[in-house]
Amino acid sequence: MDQTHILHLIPDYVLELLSDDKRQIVDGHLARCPQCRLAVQEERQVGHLVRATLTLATRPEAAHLRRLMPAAPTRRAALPGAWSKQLATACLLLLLILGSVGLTANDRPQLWPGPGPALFTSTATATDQPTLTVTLTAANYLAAPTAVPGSRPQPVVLPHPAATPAPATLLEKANE
Amino acid sequence: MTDSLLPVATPALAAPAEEQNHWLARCLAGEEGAYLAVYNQYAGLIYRLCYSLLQHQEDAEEVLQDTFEYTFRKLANFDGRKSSFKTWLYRIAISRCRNKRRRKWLPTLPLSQLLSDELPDHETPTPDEALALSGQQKVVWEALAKLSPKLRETAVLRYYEGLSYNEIGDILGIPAKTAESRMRLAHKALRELLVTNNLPEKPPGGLEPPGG
Repeated sequence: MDQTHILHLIPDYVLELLSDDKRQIVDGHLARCPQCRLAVQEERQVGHLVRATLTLATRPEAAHLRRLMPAAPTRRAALPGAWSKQLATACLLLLLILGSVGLTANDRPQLWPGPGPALFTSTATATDQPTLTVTLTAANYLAAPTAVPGSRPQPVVLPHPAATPAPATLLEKANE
Repeated sequence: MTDSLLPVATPALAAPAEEQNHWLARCLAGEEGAYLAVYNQYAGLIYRLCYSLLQHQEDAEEVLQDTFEYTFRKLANFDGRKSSFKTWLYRIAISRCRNKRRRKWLPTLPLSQLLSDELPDHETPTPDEALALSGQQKVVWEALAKLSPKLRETAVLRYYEGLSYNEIGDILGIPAKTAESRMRLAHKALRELLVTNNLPEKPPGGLEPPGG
């Protein structure tokens, strides 16, 4: 193998990227070719220069590095045993109370399955006279002795104050 | 802690696996001194790696702290069967270097700097030790700065850390063959940059001249 053939192998030879057989060929050639040995040394200079430069440029200062150390992570302290038991007991009691309340509420007869929260509902009607409609809630119906289970409550319709005749007018009518 | 506990770490100071596992187990047991020992073992290595990749001292210090803060916090997640501790640590550090570089892509200015009209210098950073660098070494430092981040990572891990291509691939999360290709490109680019600046002119003094 002449020098021309080995020059293109030198970068890979220096970077240790050659297969074993090619490496042996290059080694054999270098043993008898001073020019190729020089070429190999020049190629290796790149790595030597990089290593020397980084070694010098990035040299750390021990004291400075020490100041940069982050704090060791603190382990989360476990709750003391007595506290853990009390906390567990309190949670259990709370669950029991909530459960019993829920059961009691479910035991009450539901007379009216409709929406309950509204106390008063103002409705617009097609009549000339404005009216005020009062809808009793389910709770009120539960308390009412006349309520018939399963029946839907009828709204109590009261005349609107504006539509009520003045007392004087009523008196006059009575006199007539 | 005494100064003797903090060696200026070099790649040769990597701890044997058994000793390393011993310290890691003590860390996990919550022993504060063990964290210190692990830090002392690897802080120099990681600092040099970050400084070589970022070429900026303050950024390297910030990444060093961030790396160890994360490492200590996630130590329980380290699986010695998958990789060595050093490889895991390098991987964390390089990931943070990449994040740091990305953030620097969008330069941010503190309000005080903006109001005082003093704009920071975003030129190629020069190490504080640059005064100690020879002209030749300054050329090399600048040549490294001109490499793409991927090539610089590979070149630093190979030339400076002396890692094998398998190790480089493991750290960078790439196949060993890709690491080899990147190394070829990095070497070629560096050589061209150095030749442009008349480097390397001759082999270092320690090397024997070619015999006849």
